[in-house]
Amino acid sequence: MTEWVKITIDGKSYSAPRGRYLLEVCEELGIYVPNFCYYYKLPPQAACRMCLVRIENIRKLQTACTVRVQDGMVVTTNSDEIIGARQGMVDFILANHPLDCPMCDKGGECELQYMSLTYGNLFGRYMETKEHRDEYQLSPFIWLDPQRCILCYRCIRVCDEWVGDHALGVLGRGAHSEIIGNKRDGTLECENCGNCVEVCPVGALTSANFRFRARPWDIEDTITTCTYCADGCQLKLSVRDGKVVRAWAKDMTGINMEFLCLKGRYGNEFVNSPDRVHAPLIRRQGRLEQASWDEAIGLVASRLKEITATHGAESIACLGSPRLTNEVLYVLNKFARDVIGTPWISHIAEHDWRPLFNMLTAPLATQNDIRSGKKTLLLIGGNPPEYNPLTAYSLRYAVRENGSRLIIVNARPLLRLPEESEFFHIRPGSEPALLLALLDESQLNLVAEITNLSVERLGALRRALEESEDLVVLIGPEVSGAALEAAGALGARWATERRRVRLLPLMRFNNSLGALDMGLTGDLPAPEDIGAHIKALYLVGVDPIRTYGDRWREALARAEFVVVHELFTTETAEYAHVVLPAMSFAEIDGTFTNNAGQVQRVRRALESGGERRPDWVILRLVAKGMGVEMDVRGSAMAMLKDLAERVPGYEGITYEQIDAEGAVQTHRALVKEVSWNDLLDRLNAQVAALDRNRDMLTEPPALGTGLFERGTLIEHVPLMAQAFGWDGSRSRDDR
Amino acid sequence: MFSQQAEREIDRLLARYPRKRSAIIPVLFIAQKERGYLSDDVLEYVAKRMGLTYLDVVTVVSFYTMFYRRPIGKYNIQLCNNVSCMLCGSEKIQEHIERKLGITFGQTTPDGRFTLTEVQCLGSCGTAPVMQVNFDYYENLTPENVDQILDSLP
Ligand code: SF4
Ligand code: SF4
Ligand code: SF4
Ligand code: FES
Ligand code: FES
Repeated sequence: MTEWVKITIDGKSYSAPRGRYLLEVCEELGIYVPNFCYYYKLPPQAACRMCLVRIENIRKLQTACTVRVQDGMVVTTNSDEIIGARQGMVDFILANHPLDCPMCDKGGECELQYMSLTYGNLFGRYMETKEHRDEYQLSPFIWLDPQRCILCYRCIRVCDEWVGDHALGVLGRGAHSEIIGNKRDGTLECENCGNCVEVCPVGALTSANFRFRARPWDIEDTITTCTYCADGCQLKLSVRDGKVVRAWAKDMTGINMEFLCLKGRYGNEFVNSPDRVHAPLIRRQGRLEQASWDEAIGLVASRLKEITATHGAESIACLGSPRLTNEVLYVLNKFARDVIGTPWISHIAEHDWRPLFNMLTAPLATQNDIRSGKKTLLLIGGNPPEYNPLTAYSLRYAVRENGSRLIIVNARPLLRLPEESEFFHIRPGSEPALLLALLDESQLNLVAEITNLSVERLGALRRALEESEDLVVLIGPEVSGAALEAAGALGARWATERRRVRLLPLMRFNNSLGALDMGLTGDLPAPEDIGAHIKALYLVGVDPIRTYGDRWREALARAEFVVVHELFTTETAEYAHVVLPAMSFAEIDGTFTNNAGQVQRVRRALESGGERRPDWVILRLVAKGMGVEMDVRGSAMAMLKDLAERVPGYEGITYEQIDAEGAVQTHRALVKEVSWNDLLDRLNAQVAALDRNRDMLTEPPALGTGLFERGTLIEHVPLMAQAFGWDGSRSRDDR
Repeated sequence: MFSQQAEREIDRLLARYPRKRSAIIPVLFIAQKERGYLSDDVLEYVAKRMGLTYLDVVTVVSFYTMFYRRPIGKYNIQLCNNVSCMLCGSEKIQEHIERKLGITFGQTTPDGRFTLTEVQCLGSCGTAPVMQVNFDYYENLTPENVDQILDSLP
């Protein structure tokens, strides 16, 4: 498909794909062309004119970032003329720029600093006084130092094109231009994703958490996987003096290319929190008191044994968090099923996704599947900009770069998705009916009545799928039960020889899918069960009071014995008899599985302080205390090997493979034969029970609905607590 | 917000482009003609009318010297002081006007008759120095003919 053309650069001939920007071609060939305003995968701006090159038969020097290569093009990237021109450009850029790099937060990793070294003149030619402007805070997370800005427009373009917030602009013109935010006073009201900070080549935009706290040569970066949503961005955690000081996107090679959202970028400093549980705690006379590990483990083991003896092993329920690594979840599952011997092993989830995976008839869609090639993207429910920000980014990318068709079916209009998308506005709660329309054409009349879409519109929706050659269906948490099975069956219904179908569940937590894969698939005990037939709870990183509300408060109070592994003394921990200090994702090795079933590495970025231990070590110790030697090997790497032998789909996955490929997709067995009658019966029953009179919702969910939501980790990030006013006493109603 | 006729004109402009935002400059001109200048409220209204944000509109407005963010005098004297005009003596013209009217760049006479604005190359370097009063060009300026021009304005 790609057409290759012959071009000559600096006297050597090369072949290059026709139509690529010359600058990118040079970069790929390892020929350095200096640039500021160019940025990978952003539309060209040609603002800085650093990339000037000579092209034969064109009179003036050309900007390599905007010229597309053509057959027979002869290019010179380096000559006295070109160097002179670039020196002139640096002079221009420095005309108003302060020359105080030691005072600038960007020092040591500043593109202008590098460039001045190569192309700067010893003496500037400007005699005029520099225009001084004070720096100020654009938002709780972002600062602007206008005098350092070189007007490359990267921040504006990244916000427009990647983030979709359109929150930045340029006021004025020429040397007086200034970056401003979208509020009347020029500050920002936006997602606060910090992608603008990340792409700023100079010290103009800086992050409130990191600015003036460290120098780039003074920190150590570790590449790991984000611990928030299920999209699974790769990020670098920078550590200085045993503290996480920032997170930034890895480089262009992660599944997120170079994107992070608010949480991924600014949500990691809970790791440093002084509130972390640092030693085992045992409840004595109603109060949690520090104890030794031996004592704590001894108590947990003996209480579990007693309860098993009196009420049976089924009276103990184990719950894990979908934020834990696969390795921990794997060991927890073994611990519950083999050591304790209870079927009550499940995980805390915002949604029961099991029906989808029980009826999966199409492979899962990766971010790359969304972003590559022209396709039809059908989004049913969900709110990606708020809950799966990387997916939102990929959707925008797909529409912008490939002209993909984006169809949104939702009960509310969504913000920050491309204008070009087609919107099918349905009655709240009527998603199951919509799925019925996709599976069974004979029911469009009924579906029309329930969804409030006309039969014609439903027909148009079906036609869009018929016309598609490559279909990705993104499924939000509004789709549940039989409808979720129906979504799983879309592959069997719509895939043909010429139409590929892939599915992406918009799961919530970084390892939601891993928790299912590792076998934490039992039912969640109901709060009424606690104290009745469930006597003890073994909770690893979960806070059911926070997730499921107050009914769990009384439930926990009724339990005979509650043990939690935790980072913080959560509300649930307040009901625990024993609290065991766990390590965070930044302190251990392991893997997470994202919503596309891709396994990615979690890497230890720093030593954990205190007496904390990894969850799997704690579980093994408790087992030992109960007289069972768990067959768990000593390192996360060895554990991955073990689980890869036993967990379907994970066969053969190793650290080496993940390190080489970045993300390794698991192979999911697909359901071959769908018994359509049964499925449609279940779906029809679900649809029949829907409320047909609910009012239509016309307001989009507000900015921050998901992004600014408070949670156990995020509330311990000082900047977040400040920004969202959580640093007062914890109030229950803004949970 | 504007007269019926202006609103109708805006509708017509919006319908003319495949993307509504392309109409922003003519729409702003109408708004300015209606109100004399573009206040925050006017910008907010235009943004809403066009499906844009305040930021989209304010950044465009700030780029052009012919969009006014504050009330201006009856006559807007836009004096070029770019290279050609400067070399041909625009600074002297500037001094002359400033002394004559008692205002500097960016100011308006108390009687509301004149505003003096600094602008960049008016594209008429061959007849420098040049100024533009409202929409009319005056070329080859000397202190004498500037007096004549300004005094003869109605
Ligand atoms: S933080 Fe994100 S949303 Fe806000 S201006 Fe920067 S890029 Fe745009
Ligand atoms: S703030 Fe940074 S990214 Fe934005 S235009 Fe200025 S230099 Fe470029
Ligand atoms: S999009 Fe998801 S994975 Fe990526 S940084 Fe945000 S929360 Fe983390
Ligand atoms: S990189 Fe080409 S003009 Fe800036
Ligand atoms: S410099 Fe004044 S018109 Fe060109």
